[in-house]
Amino acid sequence: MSAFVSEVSDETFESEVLKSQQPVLVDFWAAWCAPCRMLAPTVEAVAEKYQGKARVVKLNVDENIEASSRYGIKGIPTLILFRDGHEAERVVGVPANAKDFIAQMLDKYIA
Amino acid sequence: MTVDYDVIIVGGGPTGLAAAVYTGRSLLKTLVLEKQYVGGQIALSAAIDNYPGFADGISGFDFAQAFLKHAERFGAEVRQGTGAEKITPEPDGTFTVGLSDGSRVTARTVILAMGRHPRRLEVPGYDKLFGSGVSVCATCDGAFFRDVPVAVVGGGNSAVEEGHFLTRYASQIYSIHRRDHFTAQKILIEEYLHEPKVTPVWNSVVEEIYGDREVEGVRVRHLLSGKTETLPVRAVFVFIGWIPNSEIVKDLVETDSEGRVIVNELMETRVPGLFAAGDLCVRPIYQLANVVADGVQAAVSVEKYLEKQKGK
Repeated sequence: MSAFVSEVSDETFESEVLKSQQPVLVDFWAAWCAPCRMLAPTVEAVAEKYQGKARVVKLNVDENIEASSRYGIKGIPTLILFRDGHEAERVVGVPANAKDFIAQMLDKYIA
Repeated sequence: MTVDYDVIIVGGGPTGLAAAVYTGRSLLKTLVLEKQYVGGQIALSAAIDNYPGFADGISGFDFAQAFLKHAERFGAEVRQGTGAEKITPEPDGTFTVGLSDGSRVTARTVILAMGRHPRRLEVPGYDKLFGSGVSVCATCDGAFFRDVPVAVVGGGNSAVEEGHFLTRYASQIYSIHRRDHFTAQKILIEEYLHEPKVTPVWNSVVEEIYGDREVEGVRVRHLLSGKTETLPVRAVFVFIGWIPNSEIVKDLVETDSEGRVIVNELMETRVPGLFAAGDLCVRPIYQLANVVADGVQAAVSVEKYLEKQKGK
């Protein structure tokens, strides 16, 4: 289990993500997805950097079909940034220069 | 002048990491820059079956991790998620590399090993539905399309291999190719066409990908008859070739009409101290084993170049 990225599920999605006071970055992933595993250390690094300003969580798409289908996940990794319960940003695949890319995306929503 | 590294390797795929194993073993201070993730394209491969010595095959992910571990064992520093944005040869023969995080690093030599990326399909619907059924990676996205028909576009090794992988999930695979035969390796073609789920759609091109929020179908035009038909697929996997990642060096080194970097057999470019290797370059074949060998050659050339510089 990672130190800065907690796991959310269909059951906890509403309380942990949609009702969060802070922006929440959700990493939709699966164990069989190589790029997801490749992206994980970057997501972890982002989570550490934004500790106290934004939450970073991950959701296993195989085990949580409801949330994945509600947000139309058809390719992973997908990162969705939620703010006030709504989708604000979405990235599909591993972006180039991922750490800076994700950081810039988060910066737009952090006061 | 003092520099940060003996060699900076741009790209952490098999070519770059193989080079790093060799430069590390030669005790050269080595930095590998990888903008996405180590392994590059090969990391996405479900199973590598043609790398000699791995009789049972190996997943692209495990292969990439093994290369990373090997490079780090000999002291290479590998930065993941950080790419090179600009490479500047300095008057004294060293290089300054501007990084995606805004910082700069310097080195005596540079090996370009940025590889290539999949060519996009220039049709309506591609961009809008990318990630919503349009994909360039079957191992990443195939599992989202269980028991539904999908399309595969292309006829080379990638198309046939990834198409074959999709038979695990999809109910039917329309394999669309503009010629009347695939150009992949024979064993791959044979296995692929043997699959009852695979329906080849020869001499045909995709004209449009339909769908509002998800892929709902593709319009295909038959090149000989000119007739069009709509296939009711829920995903389109596109493998129609590659574009070299040579953008940042196109004014620096010689490239061919497709943008591939031209090197000699020592992996030298026209700039002294600047080497290039692997998929980024004009090569006779693009196979894992030979792009790994390219990385090794580039590393040895770097070593020899630095020895000569010392003698001056």
